[in-house]
Amino acid sequence: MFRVRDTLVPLIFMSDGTHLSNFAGNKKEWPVYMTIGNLALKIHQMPSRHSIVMVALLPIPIKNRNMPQKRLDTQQQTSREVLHTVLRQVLQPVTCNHNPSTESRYYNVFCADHNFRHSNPVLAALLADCREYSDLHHLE
Amino acid sequence: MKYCELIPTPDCSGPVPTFISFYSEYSTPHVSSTMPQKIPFRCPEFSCQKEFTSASWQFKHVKLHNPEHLQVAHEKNLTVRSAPLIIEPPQRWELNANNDSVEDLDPFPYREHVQNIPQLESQPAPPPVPQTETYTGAGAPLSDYITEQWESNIQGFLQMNLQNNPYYPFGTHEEYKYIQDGIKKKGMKTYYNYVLKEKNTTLRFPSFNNGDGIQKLVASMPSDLVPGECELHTLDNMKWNDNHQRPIKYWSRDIIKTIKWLIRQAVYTKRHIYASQRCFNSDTPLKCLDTEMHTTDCWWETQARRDTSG
Repeated sequence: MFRVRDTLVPLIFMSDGTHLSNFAGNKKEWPVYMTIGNLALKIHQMPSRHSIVMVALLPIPIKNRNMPQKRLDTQQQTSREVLHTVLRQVLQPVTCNHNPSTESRYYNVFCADHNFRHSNPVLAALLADCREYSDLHHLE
Repeated sequence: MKYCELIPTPDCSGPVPTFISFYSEYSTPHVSSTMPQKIPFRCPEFSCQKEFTSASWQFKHVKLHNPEHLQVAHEKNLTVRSAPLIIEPPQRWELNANNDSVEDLDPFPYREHVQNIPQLESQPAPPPVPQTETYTGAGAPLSDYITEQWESNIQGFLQMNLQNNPYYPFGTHEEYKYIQDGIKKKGMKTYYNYVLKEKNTTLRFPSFNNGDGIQKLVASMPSDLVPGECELHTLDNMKWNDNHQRPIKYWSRDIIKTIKWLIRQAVYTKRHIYASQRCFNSDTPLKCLDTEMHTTDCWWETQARRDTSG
């Protein structure tokens, strides 16, 4: 339930797999970053302001080498299910099914101007590359 | 047959060729009556001698890179020398079908050039002034809200510290300013070298006298004032495949704590937006400007839709 005078908090998520090294077993990380749309664009563009926070490190799917096609499809489906499960758990406070507050989706947030406001976080954008989008939307 | 015999010898029996003198800035350039030509200009500075294709570019170059020429010219009550813009009117002539080609009949390029001259010399229009409209009611502070115990503790903690020391968690204004300048101008490397290692600086930083550093200052704050720590989670019911039976683990941080931490930051106080806005320029019809996220239509429509439904 959204009440009048509430503050909308658009959430912007960013994720991309990062290749770390070749010599230590092809290490990879898959971070998910988050920021809020209530900040000005100038703040987002300044790394020294630390307005973008890492909220999750997704599990890296295992490599699919020398696999038959049928098993490869099964493995790809499993990787997508893992990704969906992890993102569902990470975004659980924002979704409608789970709510730590009592039957409402707003949170009392102490703002920087020393006032309390009802804030309502909403998933606004997810910035990712083509491969991640295809995994999220079950595209071949 | 030799190779040199294949090359035809030039015919030098014609009239003596006339040499065309190279254009200099003291001579008048040739302007065609039918087609405008790009006239080369040169910077009056001896060391520069940069060539330009129009007088306006040359004037901009002199004004930007050699302003002393303008000052000297104004002091001596002289005008800055630039090549004269000579536009010859189209001469009236009759077509000789035996000698002239049909392409010479097209006068439109020259007419377009003459018509564009006053537009180039006119001043550019001032930028449009955006008109801002703010969503009423949204983002209003809660005056009648009764804080819980932990919230009042945090609020009291912040207010007490900020009243006693406006540069909290830093001790003095010099520390705060030095760190801000170090981050903004000189980068993180300088920040670590000159701020955290106090022995390299001549300034006195009482907050760092004990070798605590910023990390200990942050650790002394209440737990809710810092972003939530990353926690390790395990997916018990899932596995990659039969060959990889190890449990799937991932790290995550509480999103709500992160949101609260971001909204609470004092460094973003002047940059926080709590209500959606609409910005229009002065065109007719009005054009919406989507330069920021709070000026987009999706935020406004979401706020309006939820207000009416709630």
